[in-house]
Amino acid sequence: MKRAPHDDERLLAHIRRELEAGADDLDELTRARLGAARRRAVDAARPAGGPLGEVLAVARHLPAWGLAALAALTLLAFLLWRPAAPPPAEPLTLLEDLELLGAAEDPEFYRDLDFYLWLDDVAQRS
Amino acid sequence: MTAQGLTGHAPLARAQENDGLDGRQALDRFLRSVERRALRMATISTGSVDDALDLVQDAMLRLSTRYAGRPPDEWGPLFQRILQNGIRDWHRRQGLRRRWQRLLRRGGEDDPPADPVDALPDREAGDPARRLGGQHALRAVERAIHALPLRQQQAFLLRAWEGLDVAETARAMGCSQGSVKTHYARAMKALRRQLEEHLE
Repeated sequence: MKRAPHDDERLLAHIRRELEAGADDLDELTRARLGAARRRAVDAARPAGGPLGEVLAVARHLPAWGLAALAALTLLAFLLWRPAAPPPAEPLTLLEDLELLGAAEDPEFYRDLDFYLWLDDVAQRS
Repeated sequence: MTAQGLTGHAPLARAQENDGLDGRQALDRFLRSVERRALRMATISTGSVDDALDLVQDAMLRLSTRYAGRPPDEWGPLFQRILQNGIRDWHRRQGLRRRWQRLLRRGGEDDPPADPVDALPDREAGDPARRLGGQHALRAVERAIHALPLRQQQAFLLRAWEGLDVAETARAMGCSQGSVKTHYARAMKALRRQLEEHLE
């Protein structure tokens, strides 16, 4: 016999109510451990924008004179340090190709390849 | 039937209203909005609050160290994907451990393993009002969901409780949308059978 949709809605509402009650009713110790885990995760977060974002995040907390000194030091380092010209590129051998392919990512990356493709797709669309 | 709309993506939507917030504040706000449900989900699945806390902590850390720079509206699916992978790995490790224990015991004892849901802490012990009826209903719901096969459990909780649609659930579980529909329908059928008496 086919069930009326409202029966399923009633069942779902009952389950949700109980699950929400369980989620809201954590004891103090569990709440504290959860909060500590969250704070550790937030502290470990990298600012948006990768390494540049990290530099900018640090720079935001520096006073103006500190920022000026940092900029002057960066300019001085750039002027003093002249990198040697790179050696001319040589064609990669088959062996080097294989080594590069093999060492590029850990197995977890390939297991979640479809997920990363989706991420890339979402990033391109946005 | 749609699970979406009944919960209306409430936890995710709340977390994504982050305009004007510092990145870390936004991340903190997002994690606050999902942590309790994530913990309950992992506890129901593993039967252990300690293991569930480890899984949620690991998911939070991975999200923050790898994906904090991504747009906040992607955090929800990413977090669920990481958490569900963690829960699946936990079950794999447990299966492996059980196989080895059986091998090492060499058939000495045949007692079935205790149901881990029985070991869940009694959160209502100090509250007589809830103890009368609430505990029985909550434990019945948790026990019924815990008894589902893992993929049905995940499909059901992500759709019905977390409010993800079929496509988002498929991404979080790393499977096709067709599989999600099948797992969800089977979960509903089993839960109807198990919990019907509580609705009378």
